[in-house]
Amino acid sequence: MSTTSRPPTGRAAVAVLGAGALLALALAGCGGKAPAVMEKMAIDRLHTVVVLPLQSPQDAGAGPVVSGMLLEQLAALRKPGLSAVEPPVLWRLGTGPLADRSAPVGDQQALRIARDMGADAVLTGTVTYAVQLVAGRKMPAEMEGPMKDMDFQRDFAARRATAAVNVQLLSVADNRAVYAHSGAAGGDGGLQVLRDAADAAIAPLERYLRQSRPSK
Amino acid sequence: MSGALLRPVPVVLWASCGAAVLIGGCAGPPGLYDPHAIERAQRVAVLPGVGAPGLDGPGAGQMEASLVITSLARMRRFAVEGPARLRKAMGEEATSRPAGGRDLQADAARKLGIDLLVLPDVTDYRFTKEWKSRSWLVASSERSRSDYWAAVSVRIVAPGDGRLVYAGSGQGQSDQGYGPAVRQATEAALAELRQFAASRRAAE
Repeated sequence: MSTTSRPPTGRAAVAVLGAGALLALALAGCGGKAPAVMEKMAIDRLHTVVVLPLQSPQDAGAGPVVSGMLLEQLAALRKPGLSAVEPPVLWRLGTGPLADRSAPVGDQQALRIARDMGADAVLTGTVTYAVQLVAGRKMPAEMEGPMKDMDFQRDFAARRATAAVNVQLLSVADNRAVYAHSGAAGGDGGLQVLRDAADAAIAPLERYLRQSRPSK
Repeated sequence: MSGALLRPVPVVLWASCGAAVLIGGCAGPPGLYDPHAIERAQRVAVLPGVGAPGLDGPGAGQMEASLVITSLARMRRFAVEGPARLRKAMGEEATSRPAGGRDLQADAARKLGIDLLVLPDVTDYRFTKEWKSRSWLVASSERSRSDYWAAVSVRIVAPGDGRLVYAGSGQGQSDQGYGPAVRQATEAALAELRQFAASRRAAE
Protein backbone atom coordinates (compact mmCIF):
# COMPACT_ATOMS: atom_id res chain seq x y z
CA MET A 1 0.00 0.00 0.00
CA SER A 2 1.45 3.31 -1.00
CA THR A 3 1.28 5.81 1.79
CA THR A 4 4.32 8.01 1.22
CA SER A 5 4.00 11.57 2.43
CA ARG A 6 2.22 13.94 0.08
CA PRO A 7 3.06 17.62 -0.36
CA PRO A 8 0.79 20.00 1.55
CA THR A 9 -1.01 21.14 -1.61
CA GLY A 10 -2.37 17.64 -2.14
CA ARG A 11 -3.50 17.31 1.45
CA ALA A 12 -5.25 20.62 1.16
CA ALA A 13 -7.11 19.47 -1.93
CA VAL A 14 -8.18 16.26 -0.24
CA ALA A 15 -9.22 18.18 2.86
CA VAL A 16 -11.37 20.58 0.82
CA LEU A 17 -13.06 17.73 -1.00
CA GLY A 18 -13.52 15.87 2.26
CA ALA A 19 -15.10 18.90 3.84
CA GLY A 20 -17.49 19.12 0.89
CA ALA A 21 -18.43 15.50 1.40
CA LEU A 22 -19.14 16.06 5.09
CA LEU A 23 -21.18 19.16 4.24
CA ALA A 24 -23.23 17.10 1.80
CA LEU A 25 -24.03 14.57 4.51
CA ALA A 26 -24.79 17.31 7.03
CA LEU A 27 -27.21 19.02 4.62
CA ALA A 28 -29.00 15.75 4.11
CA GLY A 29 -29.92 15.67 7.77
CA CYS A 30 -28.43 12.48 9.16
CA GLY A 31 -28.92 10.30 6.11
CA GLY A 32 -32.56 11.12 5.47
CA LYS A 33 -33.82 9.47 8.67
CA ALA A 34 -36.19 12.34 9.41
CA PRO A 35 -39.75 11.40 8.45
CA ALA A 36 -41.07 12.72 5.17
CA VAL A 37 -43.60 15.53 5.08
CA MET A 38 -46.52 14.06 3.19
CA GLU A 39 -50.06 15.36 2.83
CA LYS A 40 -51.80 12.40 1.34
CA MET A 41 -55.12 14.04 0.54
CA ALA A 42 -53.42 16.85 -1.33
CA ILE A 43 -51.22 14.35 -3.19
CA ASP A 44 -54.32 12.40 -4.22
CA ARG A 45 -55.58 15.49 -6.06
CA LEU A 46 -52.48 15.81 -8.24
CA HIS A 47 -52.59 14.76 -11.87
CA THR A 48 -49.65 16.47 -13.57
CA VAL A 49 -46.31 17.01 -11.88
CA VAL A 50 -43.56 18.97 -13.58
CA VAL A 51 -40.08 17.93 -12.45
CA LEU A 52 -37.73 20.91 -12.50
CA PRO A 53 -33.97 20.46 -12.78
CA LEU A 54 -32.79 20.35 -9.18
CA GLN A 55 -30.37 23.02 -8.04
CA SER A 56 -26.80 21.91 -7.50
CA PRO A 57 -24.55 24.89 -6.88
CA GLN A 58 -21.46 22.76 -6.24
CA ASP A 59 -21.78 20.61 -9.33
CA ALA A 60 -23.79 21.82 -12.32
CA GLY A 61 -24.43 18.31 -13.64
CA ALA A 62 -25.75 16.70 -10.46
CA GLY A 63 -29.10 18.54 -10.26
CA PRO A 64 -30.34 17.81 -13.81
CA VAL A 65 -29.11 14.21 -13.61
CA VAL A 66 -31.06 13.59 -10.40
CA SER A 67 -34.19 15.34 -11.68
CA GLY A 68 -34.04 13.10 -14.74
CA MET A 69 -33.92 10.06 -12.46
CA LEU A 70 -36.87 11.31 -10.42
CA LEU A 71 -38.92 12.07 -13.53
CA GLU A 72 -38.29 8.60 -14.91
CA GLN A 73 -39.10 7.00 -11.56
CA LEU A 74 -42.44 8.80 -11.30
CA ALA A 75 -43.27 8.11 -14.95
CA ALA A 76 -42.33 4.45 -14.57
CA LEU A 77 -45.08 4.03 -11.97
CA ARG A 78 -47.52 4.39 -14.89
CA LYS A 79 -50.29 5.49 -12.60
CA PRO A 80 -53.58 6.33 -14.25
CA GLY A 81 -54.34 10.01 -13.93
CA LEU A 82 -50.81 10.92 -12.89
CA SER A 83 -48.23 12.28 -15.32
CA ALA A 84 -44.68 13.41 -14.61
CA VAL A 85 -43.58 15.90 -17.22
CA GLU A 86 -40.37 17.58 -18.33
CA PRO A 87 -40.14 21.38 -17.95
CA PRO A 88 -39.60 23.54 -21.04
CA VAL A 89 -36.11 23.05 -22.47
CA LEU A 90 -35.19 26.74 -22.56
CA TRP A 91 -32.68 26.21 -19.76
CA ARG A 92 -30.76 23.72 -21.89
CA LEU A 93 -30.36 26.45 -24.48
CA GLY A 94 -28.80 28.72 -21.86
CA THR A 95 -31.73 31.06 -21.39
CA GLY A 96 -34.94 31.40 -19.36
CA PRO A 97 -35.53 31.34 -15.60
CA LEU A 98 -33.87 27.94 -14.99
CA ALA A 99 -30.69 28.54 -16.97
CA ASP A 100 -28.58 29.59 -13.99
CA ARG A 101 -27.90 26.30 -12.22
CA SER A 102 -26.32 28.00 -9.22
CA ALA A 103 -29.21 30.35 -8.42
CA PRO A 104 -31.96 28.85 -6.26
CA VAL A 105 -35.44 28.62 -7.78
CA GLY A 106 -37.87 30.12 -5.29
CA ASP A 107 -41.15 28.38 -4.46
CA GLN A 108 -43.22 31.08 -6.12
CA GLN A 109 -41.15 30.94 -9.28
CA ALA A 110 -41.44 27.14 -9.36
CA LEU A 111 -45.21 27.37 -8.89
CA ARG A 112 -45.40 29.96 -11.68
CA ILE A 113 -43.63 27.53 -14.02
CA ALA A 114 -46.07 24.78 -13.00
CA ARG A 115 -49.05 27.04 -13.70
CA ASP A 116 -47.56 28.03 -17.04
CA MET A 117 -47.34 24.35 -17.92
CA GLY A 118 -50.86 23.62 -16.79
CA ALA A 119 -49.50 21.31 -14.07
CA ASP A 120 -50.96 20.70 -10.61
CA ALA A 121 -47.63 20.48 -8.86
CA VAL A 122 -43.91 20.99 -9.26
CA LEU A 123 -41.09 18.87 -7.89
CA THR A 124 -38.08 20.94 -6.98
CA GLY A 125 -35.11 20.74 -4.64
CA THR A 126 -31.35 20.64 -4.28
CA VAL A 127 -28.53 18.19 -4.77
CA THR A 128 -25.09 18.29 -3.21
CA TYR A 129 -22.47 15.99 -4.60
CA ALA A 130 -18.86 15.80 -3.57
CA VAL A 131 -16.03 13.53 -4.59
CA GLN A 132 -13.18 12.84 -2.24
CA LEU A 133 -9.88 11.59 -3.63
CA VAL A 134 -8.52 8.92 -1.35
CA ALA A 135 -4.85 8.02 -1.61
CA GLY A 136 -4.00 4.42 -1.06
CA ARG A 137 -4.25 2.44 -4.25
CA LYS A 138 -1.70 -0.32 -4.55
CA MET A 139 1.34 1.31 -6.06
CA PRO A 140 5.05 1.12 -5.27
CA ALA A 141 6.39 4.11 -3.40
CA GLU A 142 9.30 4.58 -5.81
CA MET A 143 6.77 5.09 -8.62
CA GLU A 144 4.55 7.39 -6.64
CA GLY A 145 7.37 9.61 -5.38
CA PRO A 146 8.36 11.33 -8.62
CA MET A 147 4.78 11.97 -9.68
CA LYS A 148 3.42 15.43 -9.34
CA ASP A 149 0.91 15.45 -6.56
CA MET A 150 -2.19 16.39 -8.53
CA ASP A 151 -1.27 13.94 -11.29
CA PHE A 152 -1.23 11.21 -8.68
CA GLN A 153 -4.56 12.28 -7.31
CA ARG A 154 -6.24 12.61 -10.70
CA ASP A 155 -4.91 9.34 -12.03
CA PHE A 156 -4.51 6.86 -9.25
CA ALA A 157 -6.39 7.97 -6.18
CA ALA A 158 -9.51 6.05 -5.32
CA ARG A 159 -12.65 8.17 -5.23
CA ARG A 160 -15.28 8.33 -2.58
CA ALA A 161 -18.45 10.23 -3.36
CA THR A 162 -21.24 11.48 -1.15
CA ALA A 163 -24.56 12.83 -2.32
CA ALA A 164 -27.51 14.45 -0.63
CA VAL A 165 -30.84 15.08 -2.32
CA ASN A 166 -33.60 17.26 -0.89
CA VAL A 167 -36.92 17.37 -2.71
CA GLN A 168 -40.22 19.11 -2.20
CA LEU A 169 -43.44 18.76 -4.11
CA LEU A 170 -45.28 22.06 -4.31
CA SER A 171 -48.99 21.99 -5.00
CA VAL A 172 -50.34 24.77 -7.19
CA ALA A 173 -53.81 24.60 -5.62
CA ASP A 174 -52.50 24.55 -2.04
CA ASN A 175 -49.64 26.96 -2.75
CA ARG A 176 -47.28 25.00 -0.47
CA ALA A 177 -45.26 21.82 -0.16
CA VAL A 178 -47.35 18.66 0.09
CA TYR A 179 -44.30 16.40 0.18
CA ALA A 180 -40.77 17.02 1.37
CA HIS A 181 -37.99 14.60 2.13
CA SER A 182 -34.26 14.13 1.84
CA GLY A 183 -31.89 11.28 1.21
CA ALA A 184 -28.15 10.78 1.37
CA ALA A 185 -25.74 8.14 0.16
CA GLY A 186 -22.05 7.45 -0.15
CA GLY A 187 -19.92 5.07 -2.16
CA ASP A 188 -17.13 4.60 -4.63
CA GLY A 189 -18.32 7.35 -6.95
CA GLY A 190 -20.30 7.18 -10.09
CA LEU A 191 -23.97 7.04 -10.77
CA GLN A 192 -25.07 4.67 -8.03
CA VAL A 193 -24.38 7.15 -5.25
CA LEU A 194 -26.69 9.73 -6.80
CA ARG A 195 -29.29 7.09 -7.57
CA ASP A 196 -29.29 5.84 -3.98
CA ALA A 197 -29.68 9.38 -2.60
CA ALA A 198 -32.48 10.16 -5.08
CA ASP A 199 -34.25 6.87 -4.26
CA ALA A 200 -34.11 7.66 -0.56
CA ALA A 201 -35.54 11.15 -1.12
CA ILE A 202 -38.47 9.98 -3.23
CA ALA A 203 -39.13 6.58 -1.63
CA PRO A 204 -42.02 7.52 0.72
CA LEU A 205 -43.87 9.33 -2.08
CA GLU A 206 -43.27 6.50 -4.52
CA ARG A 207 -44.46 3.95 -1.96
CA TYR A 208 -47.61 5.94 -1.29
CA LEU A 209 -48.38 6.38 -4.99
CA ARG A 210 -47.92 2.65 -5.58
CA GLN A 211 -50.38 1.85 -2.83
CA SER A 212 -52.92 4.56 -3.44
CA ARG A 213 -53.44 4.30 -7.18
CA PRO A 214 -53.61 1.07 -9.10
CA SER A 215 -51.16 0.64 -11.97
CA LYS A 216 -52.27 0.81 -15.56
CA MET B 1 -50.73 7.18 -49.87
CA SER B 2 -53.05 4.30 -50.62
CA GLY B 3 -55.13 2.42 -48.11
CA ALA B 4 -53.28 -0.77 -48.95
CA LEU B 5 -50.04 0.81 -47.82
CA LEU B 6 -51.56 2.13 -44.65
CA ARG B 7 -53.13 -1.12 -43.52
CA PRO B 8 -50.01 -3.01 -42.31
CA VAL B 9 -48.80 -0.12 -40.14
CA PRO B 10 -51.15 -0.49 -37.17
CA VAL B 11 -50.79 -4.26 -37.28
CA VAL B 12 -47.02 -4.11 -36.89
CA LEU B 13 -47.28 -1.31 -34.35
CA TRP B 14 -49.63 -3.31 -32.19
CA ALA B 15 -47.59 -6.46 -32.75
CA SER B 16 -44.40 -4.76 -31.57
CA CYS B 17 -46.27 -3.23 -28.61
CA GLY B 18 -47.76 -6.63 -27.84
CA ALA B 19 -44.36 -8.31 -27.97
CA ALA B 20 -42.97 -5.62 -25.72
CA VAL B 21 -45.82 -6.13 -23.27
CA LEU B 22 -45.18 -9.86 -23.26
CA ILE B 23 -41.52 -9.23 -22.49
CA GLY B 24 -42.01 -6.41 -20.02
CA GLY B 25 -45.24 -7.44 -18.35
CA CYS B 26 -48.56 -5.65 -18.28
CA ALA B 27 -47.02 -2.26 -17.56
CA GLY B 28 -45.46 -2.24 -21.05
CA PRO B 29 -41.83 -1.91 -22.03
CA PRO B 30 -39.84 0.06 -19.50
CA GLY B 31 -38.61 2.81 -21.79
CA LEU B 32 -41.29 3.13 -24.41
CA TYR B 33 -44.03 5.32 -22.97
CA ASP B 34 -45.86 6.38 -26.09
CA PRO B 35 -45.23 4.29 -29.20
CA HIS B 36 -47.89 6.24 -31.07
CA ALA B 37 -46.05 9.53 -30.62
CA ILE B 38 -42.85 7.93 -31.90
CA GLU B 39 -44.81 6.36 -34.71
CA ARG B 40 -46.16 9.73 -35.80
CA ALA B 41 -42.92 11.69 -35.38
CA GLN B 42 -41.07 12.71 -38.50
CA ARG B 43 -38.60 15.27 -37.22
CA VAL B 44 -36.79 15.34 -33.89
CA ALA B 45 -34.45 17.92 -32.36
CA VAL B 46 -31.62 16.85 -30.07
CA LEU B 47 -31.01 19.38 -27.29
CA PRO B 48 -27.60 20.02 -25.67
CA GLY B 49 -26.74 17.30 -23.19
CA VAL B 50 -26.01 17.87 -19.53
CA GLY B 51 -22.51 16.85 -18.48
CA ALA B 52 -21.98 14.27 -15.78
CA PRO B 53 -21.45 15.17 -12.14
CA GLY B 54 -18.00 14.73 -10.71
CA LEU B 55 -14.48 15.67 -11.66
CA ASP B 56 -14.27 14.58 -15.27
CA GLY B 57 -17.74 14.90 -16.72
CA PRO B 58 -18.79 18.55 -17.10
CA GLY B 59 -17.89 18.73 -20.80
CA ALA B 60 -19.30 15.35 -21.77
CA GLY B 61 -22.83 16.54 -22.56
CA GLN B 62 -21.86 18.05 -25.89
CA MET B 63 -20.20 14.84 -27.05
CA GLU B 64 -23.24 12.86 -25.98
CA ALA B 65 -25.59 15.11 -27.99
CA SER B 66 -23.47 14.50 -31.11
CA LEU B 67 -23.49 10.74 -30.57
CA VAL B 68 -27.26 10.73 -30.10
CA ILE B 69 -27.76 12.72 -33.31
CA THR B 70 -25.63 10.18 -35.21
CA SER B 71 -27.32 7.20 -33.63
CA LEU B 72 -30.84 8.53 -34.32
CA ALA B 73 -29.93 9.41 -37.92
CA ARG B 74 -28.70 5.86 -38.47
CA MET B 75 -32.12 4.53 -37.54
CA ARG B 76 -33.43 6.09 -40.76
CA ARG B 77 -36.71 6.74 -39.05
CA PHE B 78 -36.65 10.48 -38.30
CA ALA B 79 -35.19 13.63 -39.74
CA VAL B 80 -32.75 14.59 -36.98
CA GLU B 81 -31.41 18.02 -36.18
CA GLY B 82 -29.38 19.74 -33.47
CA PRO B 83 -30.60 22.63 -31.32
CA ALA B 84 -29.61 25.52 -33.62
CA ARG B 85 -32.98 26.32 -35.22
CA LEU B 86 -34.85 25.82 -31.97
CA ARG B 87 -32.39 28.04 -30.11
CA LYS B 88 -32.85 30.78 -32.67
CA ALA B 89 -36.63 30.49 -32.70
CA MET B 90 -36.98 30.37 -28.92
CA GLY B 91 -34.11 32.67 -28.02
CA GLU B 92 -35.61 35.63 -29.84
CA GLU B 93 -38.71 35.61 -27.66
CA ALA B 94 -37.39 34.06 -24.46
CA THR B 95 -36.84 37.31 -22.61
CA SER B 96 -40.42 38.43 -23.14
CA ARG B 97 -41.85 35.25 -21.57
CA PRO B 98 -41.06 35.26 -17.88
CA ALA B 99 -42.26 31.82 -16.79
CA GLY B 100 -41.25 28.40 -18.02
CA GLY B 101 -41.93 28.97 -21.69
CA ARG B 102 -44.23 26.06 -22.50
CA ASP B 103 -46.15 28.01 -25.13
CA LEU B 104 -42.93 29.40 -26.52
CA GLN B 105 -41.54 25.89 -26.87
CA ALA B 106 -44.74 24.51 -28.37
CA ASP B 107 -45.02 27.41 -30.84
CA ALA B 108 -41.39 27.12 -31.93
CA ALA B 109 -41.58 23.35 -32.38
CA ARG B 110 -44.79 23.65 -34.39
CA LYS B 111 -43.33 26.38 -36.57
CA LEU B 112 -40.19 24.34 -37.26
CA GLY B 113 -42.03 21.08 -37.78
CA ILE B 114 -40.29 19.43 -34.80
CA ASP B 115 -42.41 16.62 -33.40
CA LEU B 116 -40.27 15.47 -30.48
CA LEU B 117 -37.43 16.80 -28.35
CA VAL B 118 -34.53 14.54 -27.42
CA LEU B 119 -32.77 15.23 -24.12
CA PRO B 120 -29.46 13.42 -23.70
CA ASP B 121 -27.68 13.49 -20.34
CA VAL B 122 -24.40 11.97 -19.29
CA THR B 123 -24.98 10.55 -15.85
CA ASP B 124 -21.60 8.99 -15.15
CA TYR B 125 -18.20 9.80 -16.65
CA ARG B 126 -15.06 8.77 -14.81
CA PHE B 127 -12.00 6.64 -15.04
CA THR B 128 -10.17 4.38 -12.69
CA LYS B 129 -6.48 3.66 -12.95
CA GLU B 130 -4.76 0.86 -11.15
CA TRP B 131 -1.19 -0.14 -10.79
CA LYS B 132 -0.52 -3.81 -11.39
CA SER B 133 2.75 -5.42 -10.38
CA ARG B 134 3.85 -9.00 -10.54
CA SER B 135 6.98 -10.58 -9.13
CA TRP B 136 8.66 -13.75 -10.23
CA LEU B 137 11.85 -15.31 -8.95
CA VAL B 138 14.11 -13.56 -11.43
CA ALA B 139 12.07 -10.63 -12.66
CA SER B 140 9.06 -8.46 -12.06
CA SER B 141 6.64 -6.55 -14.25
CA GLU B 142 4.73 -3.42 -13.52
CA ARG B 143 2.04 -1.69 -15.52
CA SER B 144 -0.96 0.52 -15.04
CA ARG B 145 -4.46 -0.19 -16.28
CA SER B 146 -7.08 2.46 -16.98
CA ASP B 147 -10.78 1.83 -17.26
CA TYR B 148 -13.19 4.44 -18.54
CA TRP B 149 -16.78 4.35 -17.35
CA ALA B 150 -19.76 6.15 -18.79
CA ALA B 151 -23.51 6.10 -18.31
CA VAL B 152 -26.05 8.09 -20.27
CA SER B 153 -29.75 8.73 -20.15
CA VAL B 154 -31.84 9.74 -23.16
CA ARG B 155 -35.37 11.08 -22.73
CA ILE B 156 -37.67 12.00 -25.57
CA VAL B 157 -40.54 14.34 -24.79
CA ALA B 158 -43.46 15.95 -26.56
CA PRO B 159 -42.74 19.67 -27.00
CA GLY B 160 -46.34 20.72 -26.30
CA ASP B 161 -46.75 19.36 -22.78
CA GLY B 162 -43.38 17.85 -21.79
CA ARG B 163 -44.89 14.36 -21.63
CA LEU B 164 -42.38 11.52 -21.63
CA VAL B 165 -42.48 9.52 -24.83
CA TYR B 166 -39.32 7.46 -24.41
CA ALA B 167 -36.68 7.02 -21.72
CA GLY B 168 -33.62 4.86 -22.03
CA SER B 169 -30.38 4.56 -20.17
CA GLY B 170 -27.18 2.66 -20.76
CA GLN B 171 -23.72 2.09 -19.39
CA GLY B 172 -20.39 1.51 -21.06
CA GLN B 173 -16.87 0.66 -20.05
CA SER B 174 -13.65 0.57 -22.03
CA ASP B 175 -9.90 0.51 -21.51
CA GLN B 176 -9.48 2.44 -24.78
CA GLY B 177 -10.78 5.80 -23.62
CA TYR B 178 -13.99 7.67 -22.97
CA GLY B 179 -15.14 7.60 -26.62
CA PRO B 180 -15.88 3.86 -26.84
CA ALA B 181 -17.42 3.85 -23.35
CA VAL B 182 -19.84 6.68 -24.16
CA ARG B 183 -20.68 5.13 -27.54
CA GLN B 184 -21.54 1.82 -25.84
CA ALA B 185 -23.70 3.60 -23.29
CA THR B 186 -25.50 5.63 -25.97
CA GLU B 187 -26.27 2.59 -28.09
CA ALA B 188 -27.64 0.79 -25.03
CA ALA B 189 -29.81 3.79 -24.10
CA LEU B 190 -31.35 3.87 -27.57
CA ALA B 191 -31.60 0.10 -28.05
CA GLU B 192 -35.31 -0.15 -27.45
CA LEU B 193 -36.05 2.78 -29.74
CA ARG B 194 -33.81 1.28 -32.43
CA GLN B 195 -35.66 -2.01 -32.17
CA PHE B 196 -38.98 -0.22 -32.50
CA ALA B 197 -37.75 1.83 -35.48
CA ALA B 198 -36.43 -1.30 -37.17
CA SER B 199 -39.76 -3.06 -36.79
CA ARG B 200 -41.49 -0.04 -38.29
CA ARG B 201 -39.06 0.18 -41.18
CA ALA B 202 -39.59 -3.49 -41.89
CA ALA B 203 -43.32 -2.89 -42.03
CA GLU B 204 -42.93 -0.11 -44.56
